[in-house]
Amino acid sequence: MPTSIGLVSAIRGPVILITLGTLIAIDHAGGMRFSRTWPILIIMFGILKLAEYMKGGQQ
Amino acid sequence: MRNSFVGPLVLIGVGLLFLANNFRPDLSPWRLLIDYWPYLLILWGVVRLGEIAFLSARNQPLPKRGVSGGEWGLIVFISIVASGMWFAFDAKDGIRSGRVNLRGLQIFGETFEYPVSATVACSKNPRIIIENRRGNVRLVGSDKDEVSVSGHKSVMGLDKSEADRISERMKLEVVVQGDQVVIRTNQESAATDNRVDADLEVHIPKGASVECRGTYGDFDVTQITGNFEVHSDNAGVRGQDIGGNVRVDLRRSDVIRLTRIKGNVDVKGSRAGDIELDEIAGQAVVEGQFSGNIDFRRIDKSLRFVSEKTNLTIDRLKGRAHLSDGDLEVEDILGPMKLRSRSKDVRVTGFSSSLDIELDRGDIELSPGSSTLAAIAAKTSSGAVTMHLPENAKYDLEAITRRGEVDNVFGSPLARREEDRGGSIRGNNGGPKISLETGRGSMTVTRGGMMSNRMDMSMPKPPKAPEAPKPPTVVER
Repeated sequence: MPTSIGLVSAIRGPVILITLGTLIAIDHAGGMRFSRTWPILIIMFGILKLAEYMKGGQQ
Repeated sequence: MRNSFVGPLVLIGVGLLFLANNFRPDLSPWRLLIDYWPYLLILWGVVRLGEIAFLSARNQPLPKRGVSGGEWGLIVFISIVASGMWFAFDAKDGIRSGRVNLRGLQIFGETFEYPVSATVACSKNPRIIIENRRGNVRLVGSDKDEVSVSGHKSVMGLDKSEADRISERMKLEVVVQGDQVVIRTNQESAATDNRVDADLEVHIPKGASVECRGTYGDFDVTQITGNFEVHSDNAGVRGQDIGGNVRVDLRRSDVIRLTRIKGNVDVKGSRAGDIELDEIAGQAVVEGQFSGNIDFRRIDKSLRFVSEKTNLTIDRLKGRAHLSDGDLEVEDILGPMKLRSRSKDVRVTGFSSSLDIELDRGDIELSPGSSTLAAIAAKTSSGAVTMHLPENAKYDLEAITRRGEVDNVFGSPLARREEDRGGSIRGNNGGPKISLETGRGSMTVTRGGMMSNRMDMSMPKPPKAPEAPKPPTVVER
């Protein structure tokens, strides 16, 4: 039986990967440069870690 | 055991890509990969997410990590290779866009060159329009009333016959329409994915005005009395000895160098490298984002520089203003100067008109060029401020640091006071208002600027030559 904490930690990789891809795609399309948007990756990572912690707290 | 769709999907995708290339040779798999690799990362993440949702819905055990270490390694590898190739392409192509560029990689092709030339008679002051999509163009003013074009076009093709066919379609055209001469290399009508470009040298009447349009390539114009105008996606621009106004409008550029321009200069570049303006008799306006060194010298009227982070206006720049990533150095200005910047270390020497400087971050160092001062307002939120005050100047000085050391090297009649965590230096002998302020950083007022003797403009006397040494005398022992 998968726990929700396991779910959050499992989706972390894919979500970071999608974010990374999106930021680079935006860069290539001529929008914001990746060199300026990369901190979003850290924020995403932090949010997911936080979600994991909150889920853990509920159990 | 790990069961993932990603592996098989990648194999199927790679197979389809190369299959497509075999049926449609214009679809280069490399080009597709280079253009679409970020979307590949997104797709990868989505597939992974789908898998986890699927497992979760069926209450099956979830992997501990959604993306394994090995996969991250592969992702990093793909990113480095693809972005490296992308940059290389981008540099070659000069077009940054999200759309697919169907032009092939062309590592197999060969470049074939064809000479081009044409001469037409024209009026004394024609308007010359150059349309050359890719390639370099050099224009030189001459005494003859004719336009003469020489140069060559290059066509990339798998063999000579293919290149010949393409070359046939891109003919050099020189059309005279009244006062207007249009020079076209017709690269568009070659309608090919193969790479074509044309390098031209054009001799034009001295009195001509020139307008250049292109996508990728340099423009170099020398000795004309008319205007010079460039519109391009990516170009290096050089202009020297131009009698009229110069307008440069680029999306990207590695270098813009304009020397001895009689008229006004207007430069717009959304992503430009180095800029050099020297001896501009009119006013200069430079707007855009710049990554390289920016050098302004001898701008007779006003200079206005606007970038994302910096807004600078200088009136009558007699010496030089140099901007690099973190610094701004200004030497010898006659008129007032105004600067707003987010982050710059600023040094201004040899000024005699008013200064107005406001920085979010950065040091300020000021050395007036004469003892007759004008109003100075210099403020930084964070950074050291140093003022070299000429000895016999008249001033009403107030220098404040909210947090930092105050150092009164000038001495009396300036009075230093420590307040809270900062301090101030004040003094008034009936001169113009000099207001210096830093939110955080040291405040120093010293005696005499480095340029304080520049007013008389005389060179210091050379030192006396040392006396010739006496010949050695014989010493009796």
